[in-house]
Amino acid sequence: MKLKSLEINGFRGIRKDICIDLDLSKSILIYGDNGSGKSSIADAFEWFYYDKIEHLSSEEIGTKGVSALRNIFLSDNEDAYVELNYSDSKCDSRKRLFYKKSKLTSEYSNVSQNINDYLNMSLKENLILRYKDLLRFILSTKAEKLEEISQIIGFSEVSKIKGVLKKAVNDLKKELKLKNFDYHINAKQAHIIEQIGQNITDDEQYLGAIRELVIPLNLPIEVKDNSSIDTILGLLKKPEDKEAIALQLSYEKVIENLSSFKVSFNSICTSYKAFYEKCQQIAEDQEKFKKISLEPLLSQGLSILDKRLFEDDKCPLCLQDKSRDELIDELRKRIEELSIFKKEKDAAEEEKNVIQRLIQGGLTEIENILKEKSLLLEENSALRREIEQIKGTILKALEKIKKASLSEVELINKPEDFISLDITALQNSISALTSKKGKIITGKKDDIIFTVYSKIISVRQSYSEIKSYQKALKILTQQQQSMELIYNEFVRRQREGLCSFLESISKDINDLYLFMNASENVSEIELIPLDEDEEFVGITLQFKFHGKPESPPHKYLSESHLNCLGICLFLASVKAFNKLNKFIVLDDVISSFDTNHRARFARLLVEKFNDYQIFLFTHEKDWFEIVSNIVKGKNWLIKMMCWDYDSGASIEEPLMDLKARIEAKMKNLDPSELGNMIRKYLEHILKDICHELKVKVEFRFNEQNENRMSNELLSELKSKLKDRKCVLKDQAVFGRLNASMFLGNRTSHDSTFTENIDDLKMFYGDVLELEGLFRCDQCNNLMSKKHYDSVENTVKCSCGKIKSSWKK
Amino acid sequence: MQTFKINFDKPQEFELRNIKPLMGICGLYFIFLRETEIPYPFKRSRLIYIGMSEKKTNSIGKRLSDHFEGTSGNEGIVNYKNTEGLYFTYLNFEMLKQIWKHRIEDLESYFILDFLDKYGVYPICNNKSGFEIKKHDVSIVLEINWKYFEKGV
Repeated sequence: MKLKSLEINGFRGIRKDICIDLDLSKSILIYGDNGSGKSSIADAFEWFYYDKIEHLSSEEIGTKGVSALRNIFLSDNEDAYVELNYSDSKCDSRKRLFYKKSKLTSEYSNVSQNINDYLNMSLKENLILRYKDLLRFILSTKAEKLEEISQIIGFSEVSKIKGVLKKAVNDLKKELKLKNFDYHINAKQAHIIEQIGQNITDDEQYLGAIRELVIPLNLPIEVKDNSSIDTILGLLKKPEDKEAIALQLSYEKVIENLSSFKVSFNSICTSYKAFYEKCQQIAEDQEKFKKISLEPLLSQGLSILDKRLFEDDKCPLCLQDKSRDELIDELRKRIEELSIFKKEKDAAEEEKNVIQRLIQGGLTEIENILKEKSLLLEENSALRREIEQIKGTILKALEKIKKASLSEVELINKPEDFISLDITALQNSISALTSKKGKIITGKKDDIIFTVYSKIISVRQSYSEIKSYQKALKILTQQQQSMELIYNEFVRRQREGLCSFLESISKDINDLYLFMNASENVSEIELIPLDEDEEFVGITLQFKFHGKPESPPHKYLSESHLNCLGICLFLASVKAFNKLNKFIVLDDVISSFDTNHRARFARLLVEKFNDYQIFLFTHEKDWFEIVSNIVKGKNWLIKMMCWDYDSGASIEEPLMDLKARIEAKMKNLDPSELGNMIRKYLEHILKDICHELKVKVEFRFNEQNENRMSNELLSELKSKLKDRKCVLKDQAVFGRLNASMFLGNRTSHDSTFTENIDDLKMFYGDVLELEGLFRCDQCNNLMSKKHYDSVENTVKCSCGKIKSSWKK
Repeated sequence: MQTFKINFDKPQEFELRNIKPLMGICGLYFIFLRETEIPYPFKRSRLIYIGMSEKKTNSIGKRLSDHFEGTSGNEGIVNYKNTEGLYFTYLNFEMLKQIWKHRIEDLESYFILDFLDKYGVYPICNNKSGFEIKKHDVSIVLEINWKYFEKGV
């Protein structure tokens, strides 16, 4: 996308409409003194695309700088606007800034999806570079560099996904740990060993074990699968044993769950101890948590200082004297310190969640126990009460952990006060239950059928549960391993992507820098990713200085070289990121360059960025001249900007355009602004005539030289003509102009004088008459000292049609 | 004396992804070759090492991880890992603690000495000697399924 034309009105320093026709794709070089309004054009671009202007977005100005955008002389009922017309006319739009019910409002004239999409996509591109932004990236921290590049290349979105994947991997790992499958499987195996004197690791062993169990019964059924085991159980089942078997299984379940709870309880105690220790560490620095709440304030402060929204050597909050650099350094250190606190806090929170889950798991185990029929027996009521007490203890612990707040560390219970359980009593309960279960078996020890039957039932149940645990373990492990594979592959691709991008952009930065700074002992400039614990934490800018790798650049490079590097970074990023827009705005970016580097920069733009439309603004006259020469014949417009009280910032209009506008107004009998336009036209004509005839005027410095008024030029011209005894000196038009110039001056300043079209016609007639005296209607050139005839003592136009005496 | 048969769970590839989940587990672990059987004096076996973890902080996961990384100092295991490749299996002490009333260290000794009985020598990568516990010190008999480590089983 390139720009076809641009029009700005009532915006910043631009009071009256300026319009630049770029003839579809021309680049433009604009020279103007400081305050002539060049930056108003850059501001207009910035506001059009980003809806704010960074350097005006201070708190003092507020509203993202919008309140400072309208020209101060604009009346409230007039619109300020910026209109951009593009190579793709679907995106042409005017953005107005106006008062609606006393509220400053902005609005695009084009509200189509096309321009919405275009503006959104443009947000990711680098379009404007200003002098003050040159060092921003270079001097930013490694983390800020990573963040900035991440934002642009979409890496931060990718990092967010990576964070989600990592969390999923960690959650699955935690889940596996909390489920403690290995413990449960081995508890079941222990039970099987207790029943049949061996563990079982596969179906074959299982069938083999059952086969051995039924040998004494001499059954006519072969144990070959689960169905044959069911058949055997059907044969062995006796109605009178049903209750005993159920009770035995119930006891087994209670015993197993209580044993499992014992393990859970140990885990709860261990985890709580770790949590408490973390809390104690936090409590040691009592202010730690209060400090964490300061983090947003400190970050905001750092951002304000980094953006140079506050430039004094003072603290922006308390206004005490403080070196700006020291303050920035201090803020960075404090924010880094807080991020460590935050990690500690997060780790403690995580530990708290784990404890909560463990307690919840323990509670479920106890609740399941209390539902068992063995504990409903009258003879077990004491045991039941003990277990209910355990439940009560767990519930209290659950409440305590829920209430534990890291902001009130002092209220968090000590481990000994958190949960207390008489483990010996618990073990005694388990032993008592084991004994009761044993009694059922002992009571039936001579009943071989009962013994075999109960063992088969018990082993079958345990083995079946082992298989369920194994299945769940396998699924969860596979999920975790798959997620880990995805995560690792994601990280690898992400790393490759970033490294390859940095490599490519580094090559461009290096090439551009060397183009401008050949043989200056700086080479191999690279953006290098930095990582910590396999995580990207930043990017550093490294280069070779006298063949030795160095970083950061401001360690050795001069301000001018740093600025040069800043420009190279911007231009390399334009090549890397700008996929849609093929134009860039460079607002006074070469101020600190010496002559040599300025010329190289101009050449670089013309040679390496000839496919881009460039808006190049400068207040440096010499450089303007250099660039003007370099871009000659290369599809560039060259303009000058000036500022005056009446019009604000304006672009100097070519004479022919001005003449056409004057004549159009004459035709329409429209006197508004006409006097001022004629005055401008007269000034142009007089400057050109004086230049051609080498009329000397009083010496003035630089820009003051340009600001000469018509009467001064006219008076000096007349003196020169008189001095050269030129016949034109007696032309009546000089006298008339002296009088009519008044019209131009009155109408261009605030006055009560009302212009009259007839008076202005007369004034313009005088101007044309003056021009006619010096300009040839055949070659259209002015009489010039370049065409001085020393024989005839005359000055002529280039074709010689008009001439006038010019005596020495 | 009561006899208990000890079977081994399915072999696992000697890789970190299988080792990591065993962090925090105490018990015995067994490292064996994928294919090759070592010709021990009495019988051939793929088993090359019997190891033990007695506490959670030095768990089976940690010990196997040290062997894997080569930080355990057992060069034999590292060299077999790098040449033929290895499997491992383990016994969680949780399963045996109801029947084994001694220390885990003693259980390891029991297993190694039983291997010595059946195969004529310690497993090839078990360098240390001085296993104290003898069968007569314990009141049970463990019938260990050593066949598991023979080829094709």
